[in-house]
Amino acid sequence: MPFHAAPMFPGDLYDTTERVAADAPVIPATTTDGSLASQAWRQYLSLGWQAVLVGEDHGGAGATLADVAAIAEASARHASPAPLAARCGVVPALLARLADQPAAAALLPQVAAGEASVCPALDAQHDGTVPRCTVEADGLRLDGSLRGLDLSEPASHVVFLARTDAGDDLLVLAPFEALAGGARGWFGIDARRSADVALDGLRLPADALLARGVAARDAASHALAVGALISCAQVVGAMGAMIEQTIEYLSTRQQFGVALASFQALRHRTVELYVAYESVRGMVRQRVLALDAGDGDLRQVALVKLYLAVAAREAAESCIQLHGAIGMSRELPASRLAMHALGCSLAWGDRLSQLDQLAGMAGQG
Amino acid sequence: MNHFSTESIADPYAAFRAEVRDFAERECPEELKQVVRSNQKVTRKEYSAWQRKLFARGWAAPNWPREYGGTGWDLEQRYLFEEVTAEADCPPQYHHGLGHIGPVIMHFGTEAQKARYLPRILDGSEWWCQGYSEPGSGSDLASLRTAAVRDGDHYVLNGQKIWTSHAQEADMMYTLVRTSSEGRKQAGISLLLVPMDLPGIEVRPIPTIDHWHHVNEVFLNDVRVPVANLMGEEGGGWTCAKFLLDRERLSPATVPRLARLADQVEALLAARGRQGGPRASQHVLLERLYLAQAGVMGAREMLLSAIQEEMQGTLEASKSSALKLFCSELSQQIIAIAMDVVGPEYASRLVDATGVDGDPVDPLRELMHTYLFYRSRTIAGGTSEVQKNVIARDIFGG
Repeated sequence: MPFHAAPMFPGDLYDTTERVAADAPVIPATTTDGSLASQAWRQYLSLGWQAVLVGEDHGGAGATLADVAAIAEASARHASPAPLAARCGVVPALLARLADQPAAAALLPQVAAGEASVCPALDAQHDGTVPRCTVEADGLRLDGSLRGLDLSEPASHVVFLARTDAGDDLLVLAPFEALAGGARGWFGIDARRSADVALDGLRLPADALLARGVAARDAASHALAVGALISCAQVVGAMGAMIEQTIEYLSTRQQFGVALASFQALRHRTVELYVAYESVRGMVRQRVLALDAGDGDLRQVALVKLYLAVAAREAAESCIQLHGAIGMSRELPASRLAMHALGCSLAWGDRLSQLDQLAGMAGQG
Repeated sequence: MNHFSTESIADPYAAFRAEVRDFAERECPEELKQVVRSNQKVTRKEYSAWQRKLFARGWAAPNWPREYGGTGWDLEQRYLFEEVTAEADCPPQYHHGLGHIGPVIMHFGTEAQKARYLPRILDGSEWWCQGYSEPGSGSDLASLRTAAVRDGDHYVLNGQKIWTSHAQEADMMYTLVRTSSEGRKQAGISLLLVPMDLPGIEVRPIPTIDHWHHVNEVFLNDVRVPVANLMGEEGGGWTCAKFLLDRERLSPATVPRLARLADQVEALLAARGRQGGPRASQHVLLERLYLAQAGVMGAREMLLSAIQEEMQGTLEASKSSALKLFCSELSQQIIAIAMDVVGPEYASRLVDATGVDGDPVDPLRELMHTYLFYRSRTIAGGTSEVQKNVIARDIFGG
């Protein structure tokens, strides 16, 4: 029997998600109108995927990160652009740490019910800046911009990191309609839709401030670690499906009168893909279980994310090469998987940012 | 430093871990640890000194069942034992007896053979080497030609083995010989247990790039081996060899040793980082270290899942080959980082040419030897290319 990827966390969540993702149309409509949810996303919301990580006292399922990873891995097998890491992992993890704030406590049940969907922007821009915030008597004033908001599906709120002139970190929650003006929309390499939004003097009420200082940074870095691990689970899912499809293609396609699968060079490159898959599957699974068990060692998460960034790039490039010319086609499922793995590896902390983080921890930054 | 947070196995085994750590710290002699810590080549002297200590404690064979004098430990205990002893810089256990021929004797041997050989593997009094490869038979082992001709109660051996590790210090060699040229080439192969002091055996060292004496040529000229030394049936050698090979690829010791080496390289880079300000080169090295450390995490998970499957009897060849392939290449990646750091200084200073004895061991020089020796990691025990062929057969379904 040829290779078939075994799920890291098998079960109903994995099976259901894979069925939904498999039915989703493969080429998204090329419209920048992000106000309409896709059929798949509506199903995910009604299945309660945003509630998985939300505690029972806030109307959620009180389940584990492993459950979110199961959803992420399954959806990635079909290169689903649904923002699962952000909306089902990062945001519940972030809000849970801020639940002593009325605004966060009020939002959690809405997230769990799928009535609200929060887009997070917690990492610094590529130039190291974050929006500037001035705390005024009657509220907050924001300047600068939010770049790369993942709006593959509609968001009701945005939660983001900002900084005061004094260098104080703040976590700010804004209703989406407050900043919708002046947005520029984009399609990404893997069908994700994003937007850059100018804040230019945006004013928010005082209760938009969820946390500041150490509390804000700790909540954000924990949530980013969740994002990093869930995007790693997506890479695992995409890689597993890529290998299956590559083997299928090489076994079917004939050249020189024989199946491509009879050429040792192609077999060995596929094997390298497989061995990399087995190793990343093991390390991601172990780290997800560790985080569930309360071991939030950020260095270990950064090591895994760094490794996955390299593995995803190599896997994507091998997958395209092994498919030959058809590998360049956007209509080939395997190519979309390759682009998805690339996209996931660059989100939530790319190779270089993980390297900077690790070197910083070692005092060698 | 412990890289493994062992959350899944820590609690029920905390007492066991403490017991092993205490034993490793108290009973393993400092001079053995020094050899390991400084990456010198471990010889029979160090291996057997440690084996005697373990034997006295009842821990001679972590991978053997109790009925043969093993510990009967479960998977987690075996792995913890390897992890803790590696962290404490104890030598590894010598694998040819305990890991390779021992289990073959248990599975295929007669009662007399079990009684004769197993106790001496346990207490470390008898040392084994593996006579497999021949000048014309490397990856294609089944083409081997060393002849064993029946003459009364003896087989008469003529031929040559090569790349025989530890032959210079071994008492016994388990060796594959051709007892028949009929039929499939695998069917004419038998496994013989050969005492190394028999007349007609000559061992010649092979000078290798690492300047360590590890491998040898073994010449066999009219060597008379008692028929009682046949393992299993005549012509059944290939079955024994495959049984052995599957175990050879699945060694729980590999990963903790890799983790230890990564720790050493981390310390090497930390020391280098303290010399002067930020350098681009340092960051390049650090990234390779981080990737290697993550790789060790992946290797550990692959190993644990492979041992689990092995115990349930569901382990596929592709999994053990993938592990061997991954770990051997990872070991090269780690030692290559050390090579880049110490190479400029030590490449021209590998061996003392003045012949002054008693120079203190320089651990950095040993890293050069280790780098060179580790080129064999992707060649010995099945080359990476052979492993890939094995894996490809599995994942392509043919």
